[in-house]
Amino acid sequence: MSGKGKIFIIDDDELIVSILEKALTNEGYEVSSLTTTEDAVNKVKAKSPDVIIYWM
Amino acid sequence: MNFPGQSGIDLLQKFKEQGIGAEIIMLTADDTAETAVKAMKFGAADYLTKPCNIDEVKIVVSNILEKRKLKREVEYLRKVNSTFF
Repeated sequence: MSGKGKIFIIDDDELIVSILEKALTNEGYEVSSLTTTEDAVNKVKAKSPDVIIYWM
Repeated sequence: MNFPGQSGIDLLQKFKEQGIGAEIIMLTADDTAETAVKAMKFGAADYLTKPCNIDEVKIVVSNILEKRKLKREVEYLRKVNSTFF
């Protein structure tokens, strides 16, 4: 696990994504995000996150 | 969330099939437990309902990462144990 951990956020609400990204980055996590599920599997695989926060 | 031709659960299954070993936290607007139970059945580690509280998200993420770390340590120690004893 690199640093405090890698988080990947998937949500179509850009505001929620931006708030979560800032809050978790400030906590020391490495954060990536997507606002669409297009090619989500490959994009998530490329980042190999520890945690995925996913809106369904 | 709009998924072209797939439900949220489908994507969750795809992650598992593709060997993505990340812990998954579901965000759901449902305050009924049905979707959450479904998500947990498909392997989500936890779920949060929208609108979500940032402090709650931080606590859930931190707890999940701690559990993940402990799981890995247990696996490592089991391996060491089976090698030497």
